[in-house]
Amino acid sequence: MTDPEQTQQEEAGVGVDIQATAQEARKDHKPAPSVREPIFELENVSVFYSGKKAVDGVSADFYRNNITALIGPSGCGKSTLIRCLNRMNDLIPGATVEGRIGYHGQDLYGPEVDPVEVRKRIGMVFQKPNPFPKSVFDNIAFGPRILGMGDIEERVERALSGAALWDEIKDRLDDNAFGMSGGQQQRLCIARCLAVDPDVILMDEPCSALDPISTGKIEDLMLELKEQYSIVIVTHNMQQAARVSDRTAFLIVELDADEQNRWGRIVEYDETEKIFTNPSDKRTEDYVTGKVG
Amino acid sequence: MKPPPDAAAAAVRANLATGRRSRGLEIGFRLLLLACLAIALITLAVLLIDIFSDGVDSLSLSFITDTPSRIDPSSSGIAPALVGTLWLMAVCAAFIIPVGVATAIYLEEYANRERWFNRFIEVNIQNLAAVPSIVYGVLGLAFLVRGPLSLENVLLAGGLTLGLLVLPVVIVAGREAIRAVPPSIREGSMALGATQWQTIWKQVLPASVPGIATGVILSLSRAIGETAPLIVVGAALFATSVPSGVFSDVTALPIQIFGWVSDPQPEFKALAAAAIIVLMVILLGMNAIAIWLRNRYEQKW
Repeated sequence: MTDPEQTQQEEAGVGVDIQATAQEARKDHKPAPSVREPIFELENVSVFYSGKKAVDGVSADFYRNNITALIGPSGCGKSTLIRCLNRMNDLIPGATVEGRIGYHGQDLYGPEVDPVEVRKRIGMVFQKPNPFPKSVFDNIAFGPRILGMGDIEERVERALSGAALWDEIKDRLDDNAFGMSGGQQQRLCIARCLAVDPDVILMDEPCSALDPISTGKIEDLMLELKEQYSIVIVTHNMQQAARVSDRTAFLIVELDADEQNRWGRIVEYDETEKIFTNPSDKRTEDYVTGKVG
Repeated sequence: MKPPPDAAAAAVRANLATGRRSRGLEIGFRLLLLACLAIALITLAVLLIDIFSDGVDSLSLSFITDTPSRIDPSSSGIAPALVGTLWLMAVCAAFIIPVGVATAIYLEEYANRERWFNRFIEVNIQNLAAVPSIVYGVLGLAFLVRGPLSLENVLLAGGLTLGLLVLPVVIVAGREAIRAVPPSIREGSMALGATQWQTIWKQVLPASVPGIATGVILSLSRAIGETAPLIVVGAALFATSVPSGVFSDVTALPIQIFGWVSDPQPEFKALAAAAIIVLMVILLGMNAIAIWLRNRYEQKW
């Protein structure tokens, strides 16, 4: 007993809300740098887990000092894709990558490339905050210590300041990191990442385990960090992508002919404003207006 | 038509009342469980009280510091046996800690589970823990005392034999402790640019130390009470001097107890009971330390 017109208006209303939020949030943004230097150049990248395709034929360039968001429904390979960028998929036995991922022009999966070196430059923040069972200081100092960096105390302070955590925690550096709240722990993980002076920060749904206030703090942090670092973020939260990112890639799940296998592919990758206000592909429009999950 | 209110209430009351029969079964079951618990506890209590009453009179400082005498029970002591036990534990620990922990690390962090070879090892470590201790004694006799190493029947051979006996327990405990460290910690470490070895050495191992320590202490407390393997390896039932190093004769508290219990003179049986008390105090102390360690340092993820 639904009124079709009413339903359509409601759905359009949802879409309008997101667009309005996006435009509202972006009013205070600094514009992305006009000269776009690509950090990552993905050419026809496919990822397989023990022979089963998980991501198919992704081609996109991610740019320096941008926040690039990967959005899409569950299972579309966003996490798989982002984990390729710092070779974390190497840790999964049976994971293979086809295609070319260029990092500053160099093939990330080239034969002479050492994954450990890659991860020194491309850091990652995970969905569930994973502080080490040590003190706050030792958590942040861990990276610099094993990489042989100097001025540990200064690095720790700089990293915690960079993660907007220094004032809250400067008197409690020796406390166990597990005693902090979820939002603080995630900012600790971000600080841990910053302490090794990375080039790129990858974030795999960094706020999905956090409350809205912590989420807001971390989103503000991301906007500050992008001036120095390049950020790629996977998010389930469309509004978040609309709020913080400069460019957005929308991925979907595709089934093969007999519906046995499924994998992800990019549908559209463009400036965030365009994706959310005037997408080229109908599937993108359906997703960002909430017509499909 | 609704049934008259009285009948409905009576029906409800009747239903509630029939529960009383199953109440009886409940109570009976609980009593049965309590009875089983009582049997276990009473047996233990009787054992402890019996030992205590037999042996407490013989306990004294001289008991702990004297060497045993074949002829005169009143001047016999457990000094060589006690020191021998401590030496055996030291040798055993020096062997099982590095070897056990290294094996656990390899099996958990490096071995590829898909290969048949590694699955074979995994299954057989469990089996090794179930092998009777006397078989380890024969193994020690063949390969440590005689055979390739030819150590003769010295503390080193005895300690290594006990080490082989409890090594599977340390490996299993070590694996459990390492496995308990969540993958997110390893991922966090690797994502910062640490190598696998750095991750293990600086994150995984430190986090698993309490579990490993508990496993080591429990293994040692098992090793300390083993008699059969030491007898096969050639322990001296009657030691005249306190052991001075790893190449002294093998002697241990359980062996001394065994020797005294076998002696026809009744006074020696009292000495055996006293030695058992000392052994049990050591054992209970070690287990208490292990439990305290586990409770104090256990990591809740």
